[in-house]
Amino acid sequence: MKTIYLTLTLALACSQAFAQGMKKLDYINPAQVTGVYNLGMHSAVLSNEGNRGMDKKDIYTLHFMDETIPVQEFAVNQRSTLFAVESSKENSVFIFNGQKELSLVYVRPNGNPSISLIESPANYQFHSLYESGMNHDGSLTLFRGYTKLGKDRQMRDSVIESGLEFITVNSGGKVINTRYEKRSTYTSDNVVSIFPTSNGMAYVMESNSPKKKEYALNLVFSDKMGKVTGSFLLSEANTLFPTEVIADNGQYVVAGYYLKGTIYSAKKTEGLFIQVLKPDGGLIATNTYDWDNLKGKLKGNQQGDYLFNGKMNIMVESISATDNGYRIICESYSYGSGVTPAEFLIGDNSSSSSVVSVYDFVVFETGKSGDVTSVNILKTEPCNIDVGPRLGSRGSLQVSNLLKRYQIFPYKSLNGNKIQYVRYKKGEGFYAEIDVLTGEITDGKPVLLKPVIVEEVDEDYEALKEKSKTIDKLDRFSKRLDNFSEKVDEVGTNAQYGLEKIDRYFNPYERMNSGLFILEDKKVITYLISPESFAIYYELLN
Amino acid sequence: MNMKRLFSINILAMSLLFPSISTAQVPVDVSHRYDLFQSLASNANHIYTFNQVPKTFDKAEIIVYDPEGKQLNRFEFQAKRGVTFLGANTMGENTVFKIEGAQGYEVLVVNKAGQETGRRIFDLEDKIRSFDIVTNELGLTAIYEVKRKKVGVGIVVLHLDTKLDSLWSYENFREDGKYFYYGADVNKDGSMVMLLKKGNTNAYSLCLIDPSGKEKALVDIDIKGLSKYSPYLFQYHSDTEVLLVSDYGSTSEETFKGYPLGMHILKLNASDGSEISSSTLSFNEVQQAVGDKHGENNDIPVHQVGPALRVLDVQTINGKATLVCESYTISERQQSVPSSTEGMAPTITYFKQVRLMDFYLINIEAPLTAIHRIWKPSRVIELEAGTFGSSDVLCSMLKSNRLFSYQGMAGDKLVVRGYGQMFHYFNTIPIDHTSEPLKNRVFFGPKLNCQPSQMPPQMSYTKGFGSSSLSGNLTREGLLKAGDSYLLFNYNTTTNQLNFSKLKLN
Repeated sequence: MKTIYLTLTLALACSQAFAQGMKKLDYINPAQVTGVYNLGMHSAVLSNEGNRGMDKKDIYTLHFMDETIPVQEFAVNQRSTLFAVESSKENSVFIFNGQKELSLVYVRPNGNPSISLIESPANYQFHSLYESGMNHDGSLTLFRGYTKLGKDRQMRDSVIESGLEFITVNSGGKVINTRYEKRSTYTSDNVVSIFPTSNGMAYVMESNSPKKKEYALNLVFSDKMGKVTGSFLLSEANTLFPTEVIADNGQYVVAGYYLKGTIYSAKKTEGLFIQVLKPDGGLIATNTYDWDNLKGKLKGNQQGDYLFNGKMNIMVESISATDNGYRIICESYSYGSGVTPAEFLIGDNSSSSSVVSVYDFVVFETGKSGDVTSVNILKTEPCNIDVGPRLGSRGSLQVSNLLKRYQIFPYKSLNGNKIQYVRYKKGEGFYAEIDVLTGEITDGKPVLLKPVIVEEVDEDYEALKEKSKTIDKLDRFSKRLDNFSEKVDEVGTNAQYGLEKIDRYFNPYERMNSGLFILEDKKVITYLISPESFAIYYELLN
Repeated sequence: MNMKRLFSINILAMSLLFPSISTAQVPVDVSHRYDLFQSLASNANHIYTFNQVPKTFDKAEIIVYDPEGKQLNRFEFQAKRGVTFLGANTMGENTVFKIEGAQGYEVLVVNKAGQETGRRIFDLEDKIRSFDIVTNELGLTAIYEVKRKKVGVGIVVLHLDTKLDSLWSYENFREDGKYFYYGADVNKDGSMVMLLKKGNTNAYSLCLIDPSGKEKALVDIDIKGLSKYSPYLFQYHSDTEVLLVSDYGSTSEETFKGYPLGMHILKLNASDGSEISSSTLSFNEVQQAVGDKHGENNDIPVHQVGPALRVLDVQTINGKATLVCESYTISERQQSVPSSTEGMAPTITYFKQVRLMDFYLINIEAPLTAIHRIWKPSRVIELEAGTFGSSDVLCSMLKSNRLFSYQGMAGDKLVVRGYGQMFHYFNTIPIDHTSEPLKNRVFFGPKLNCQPSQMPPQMSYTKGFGSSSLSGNLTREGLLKAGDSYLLFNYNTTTNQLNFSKLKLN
């Protein structure tokens, strides 16, 4: 009889496990995990396996979150540090800053990793990368400083030139273009943000000269070979700050917010701008809308007083072409100290943290020249993100750019007419989709995986427990204590949330043990690194 | 208990167990309940365990399994002072178990099917200082190191056939000193070779005996003035040659500290004991040739003294006789445990840490010119060896417990075990590779008992063994070479199960 029950329960357990869809990568030491990365069509865990003194290499193993793909292995020169992981649909590359060279490790699910080394020319000092971007076709643009060395009159080693170096690498890992932009003595040049497009790369570049009190922000376009095709000055009467750029029919569509002053000095955004530019930087159309202006274009009977009051900011998340023009999807957010009225009342208002509160999605429909024809607010639950004191000391616009770069804003991707997003509430994230046309929201799926940690049992003890009333009672008492403890924790969490109203914490300097990726095929994968079970759990949510 | 409760418990238990079953990299083929697991080993014929019989103080048992882990038989022994398991040899398709019990030294012969075919007590009038056996298909040879009254310390040899009937005996007592037994091997035709140490000196003799028990030669071995000479590999290399590999020198002047400075490889004529070839391999030279270096020009050796090499096997690779070695260093640490009695001094425990590093394949004919190094992640085995325990003793213990990384060969691949990602693993390395392919590792067993947060990660893979480790069998998991195949064993201390898994390595 017992055998029958056992078989039945085994079958039940099997079906239960498959229904859950949660999978597990076993035998992963969390202390060795460098990170979990989106590799286009897959995601994978990179694990540091230590140093190989024989040829002075650091070894890594790559564990795909897909049981059909075997573990891969690669080695880079020792003391190289992982700078970034860039990916497109077909290509993924791990970029390492070494001591004297850059290592680009190309990984593919069905092949061995291949490594391209980029070494500095003989009379150039090595510089680490500080920015990178990958185009849809897999070509890579790398940004770093350069220093050219020479001899002075006394034949001593001396710096004769310095500036920014732009390296373009094709999808095969071959450097196809290197461009040096010389820096003048008093100017500091810096790439602020980059936008991979189907034309090539667009990047925002600032030139700052405190001595001359000069500041310039330019949008620079380069083709797929890395050759600059043109640029557009963004800092004139107002500073235009693009947060999204796409290429459409050979033209660039640029959208963002505009400011009075620079990104460092402006306290708030003034409104939205949308421009259509030629690859040579020539202006085809420009449209600026202050917040009051936009209120008048709201769809139906929607009220925009709350969003468009000047205190609220708009972050452009995506631009997509429609039959009539473009659809621009934005998120509204505000930035503050995060001290709630409840905290103020009890006197706990000394926090040095800052909080970004994210509200609704705002969808702008435009014509072909970027003129806004309608504005639609898609209401969602607000979410408060604590960015901590370290980030809190930065300007609000800098913080919001950082949040966008790390994909901390709820918006994740656009799949047809549906926005894929993750909204956090009381520390728990929920993945959902919202229809851009109807505003209909799907049921939220929890992002945080809660695996059952397996504990093996001694059969003798279990048998003894079944026979012994005392042990059984103790066991039940222990379970009751655990339940009580859980309830106390829950009450504490609720009380804390009632005071602080913080839904999520963000620290870019800290590795996150859980996360979510939207792959190129719009599949959503969520993962959890479990230090208790030395495993990584993952699950596809759609 | 009613059925409903049983049902709910089963659901809970099985749903908890399912993920572990589905994700284990090595499925269990055979499982045996063991309430008291102590030691396990194997040879070409059998797998066998030796342990105390639970709930008794004077009984021990040998349980014999076939090479696939199926239990064949169990043999019980009783002795008030305890039963000591001394090892096992193969005698054709039989296994000869060697124990020390109530009546002294005893051997038990078990056939392929696990049935007892012979048993014999070995006793002498002389005081037996040590006892060993060597076997071949023709029979068994027992070697005693004895102390004979008014004569001294010498060697007595007794040869038996497969039915354990005596055929001949031989003895050798030095007139001007002692002979200590150091090792022996027997050839297919019954010729025998013994390595004898000449008292407490740094001198060794080779004794050759023909199949009828007559002494063919007794010659001194030229160790070329090498200090701290310590032979550890002594065997027939072919029908006509005997191979002797020894450590020499030490990184420390103190006894039981440090590790050797070099290796002496000696080939001797199996007919008359004459020297065929002799070469010394300094570990510093090995490091200079293929070891880790740093510095601008890659010219400064990483280790002040090159890591020592330990020969673990002799294989024919690409037609050449090759020593399969693993490199290691030894360090010490001590731990002070405060006394539970107030005012008493703390107890200081001394640990020896053996850091196992890379593989070196060395051509016997040209040791220095043909070294092939294969990198693998290092791992540390920590033994509570007190202030004693020379490098030779530690290495012997690691080898008998299969704790060296090298486990044997499978075709043209090295079969290795190691620690990675906080778990045990096994792997294979093609002999023409220069490093272990980490992507192919197969993990098994529970996670190691060390700190996961310790960085750098690989440094934390220290497997420690508790007290009295110098005498016992240490491992609860590992690989067994049973016949031509490999078997993974793993004793689960939570469920008290000994699990076997047959491995496909090629």
